[in-house]
Amino acid sequence: MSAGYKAVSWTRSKILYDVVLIAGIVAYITIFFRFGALPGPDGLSPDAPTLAMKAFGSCGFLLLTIVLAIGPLARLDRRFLPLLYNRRHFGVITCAIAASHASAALGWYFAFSDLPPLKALFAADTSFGQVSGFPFVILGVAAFLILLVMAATSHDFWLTFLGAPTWKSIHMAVYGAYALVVGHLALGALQDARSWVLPAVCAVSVVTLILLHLAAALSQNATDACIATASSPPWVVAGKLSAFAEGRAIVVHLADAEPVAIFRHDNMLSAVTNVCAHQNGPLGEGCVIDGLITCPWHGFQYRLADGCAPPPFTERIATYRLALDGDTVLLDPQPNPPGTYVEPIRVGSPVA
Amino acid sequence: MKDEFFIGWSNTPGRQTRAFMALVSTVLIAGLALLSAILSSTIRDPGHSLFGSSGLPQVVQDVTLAGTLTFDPYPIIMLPPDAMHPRGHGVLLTGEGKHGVAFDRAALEGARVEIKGFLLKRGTLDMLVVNGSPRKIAEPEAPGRPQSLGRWRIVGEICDGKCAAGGMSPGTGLAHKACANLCLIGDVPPVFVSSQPLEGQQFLVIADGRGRALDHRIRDFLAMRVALEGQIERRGDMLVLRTDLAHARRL
Amino acid sequence: MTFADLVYWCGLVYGGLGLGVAAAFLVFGLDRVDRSARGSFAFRPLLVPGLVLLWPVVIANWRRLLLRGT
Repeated sequence: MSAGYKAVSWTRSKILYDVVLIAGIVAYITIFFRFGALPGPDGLSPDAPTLAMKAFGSCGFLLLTIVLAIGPLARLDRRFLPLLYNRRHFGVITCAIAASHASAALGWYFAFSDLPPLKALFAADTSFGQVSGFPFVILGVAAFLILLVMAATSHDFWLTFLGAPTWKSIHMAVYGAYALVVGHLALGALQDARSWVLPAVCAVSVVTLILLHLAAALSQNATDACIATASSPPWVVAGKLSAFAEGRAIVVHLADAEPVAIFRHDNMLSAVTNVCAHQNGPLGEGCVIDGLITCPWHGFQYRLADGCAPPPFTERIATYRLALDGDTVLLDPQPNPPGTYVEPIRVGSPVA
Repeated sequence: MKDEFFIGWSNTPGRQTRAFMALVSTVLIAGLALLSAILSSTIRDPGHSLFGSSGLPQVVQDVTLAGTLTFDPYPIIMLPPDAMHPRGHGVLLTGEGKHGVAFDRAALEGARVEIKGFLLKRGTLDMLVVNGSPRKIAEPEAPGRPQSLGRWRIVGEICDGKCAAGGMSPGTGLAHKACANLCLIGDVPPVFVSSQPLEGQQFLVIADGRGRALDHRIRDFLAMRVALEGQIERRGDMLVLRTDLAHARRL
Repeated sequence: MTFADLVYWCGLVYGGLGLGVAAAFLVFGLDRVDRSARGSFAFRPLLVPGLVLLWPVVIANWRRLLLRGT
């Protein structure tokens, strides 16, 4: 048994998430139009189309920065995980803001000529051979296309249809989109910047994202350092027993295979794949509820010993063999076929 | 403190999660609002943009100009001298949108004509957005001799005449380079906005070495700081720079 | 033909073919390649932009899943 597709599977959390995000965007755009339209020291105020381009463009850039920060933040501090699980809504909304920016530019800078705006986009500026004066608009178009493909493939269907590796690689392109947007800004708006604010915001965005990703990678390496090192074949060292908390998992990253989640429950250890059979959710970030491994994404559950979802559900995941050497937990990296029973190993006295 | 488990699909996250998310939400909304206030207050408009303002019908006033029509390097009507313009006053001509004018050059070159339209003004630069066809009121006469001001090297920015004259903002700068290029593709006359006033003028008409319209290579130099070299001549109150783009430099 | 013409016409042809593939896939393909889609209709319009943008990938996957099914 499996859940049928819905247009959007709304939950109260998701509605709240979207409400907060849209409230932030409405606040941003409203304030931008209100403050931006005030006359400057020379008594002149910008016109509405220019304001719209700048408001939606800058908003899109900030949203892209935030959405890219969520991943490393959640790896550094689990409390950010709820932001991660609904990140697709964030991405779709960011794409909509980018579309508003694009449509404002198309309807103003690329309109009123004999060429259709979409053709004018590629005809108007073709000085590709120069750095200063490079057609920065093209970089924005490329970034928008990436965001569009990501938004268009954000529905659950695409994850199943394309398969997780393809889907993930498409969605990793968001980093390419961010780089293109930074180029779009650097060769466009920043060239004309008359104040330090926009360059500063750009620099803070780039530096923050680099630092967050470095910090997350370092903390990941610190965790990985003590695991997945070879022991006597076929075993690899999964970690010290003391590192396993009751009801939670430690994720073991293997060289050329899916990560493995090792759960401790009632002083027994069981190992299953880290990848949920529903939508590839990270089972190792889940916990044991009512004696069942529970995926943090959608709450899909599996039995610890055999990786089978409780009836009437039919999902099954791969299990792994474990062994104990003193206080070191060893893992056989060879997965068992999904649903294979493996006796959990006892690591202490049973809970009364 | 034990961390709380959150399931993406759950309707009721735990108390700790709710509290933390309330904090994150507040920071997000307040942060976006603050950044918006800071970023928006730094926007400066280089000049009044006629077409971007909502009151277009009120500000646009039709005028009728009578003067001598010339086509090199671009369509210009030269108005006779008056109190404000003792040398006469040159007005660049353009059509609606990103289109230049398409007049019958053979019939109208050098003729005295009457043209209707509305004026775009910024500083000393005037451009008439022509409405209808010019009406010939006198036959062509021998053109006045332009006064040569010698050879110059000047620094500034090439723009489309329409936005430089206050059509759309920003009017200058890279942000609207593609927009300005489209104007030039549509035969709207370009102008050179000098960073230093030259003989009291900040806006110059630019032409190729033979005094004719510049070709498509001009688009590689648009909307950024460039240095141009060439002969400058005065026609009425207008300065015309005759330059070879092969010697133009981007700065 | 200029660079802009080339991009513009390629875009139009690509999008037009994409619309065709999207319609065919939604009518004939979806129910056969993904069981979860059977009986669900409200989400189908949401797939159209992705089907139009990625139609070559859609055809390749559609074929692969059908071959695997048989």
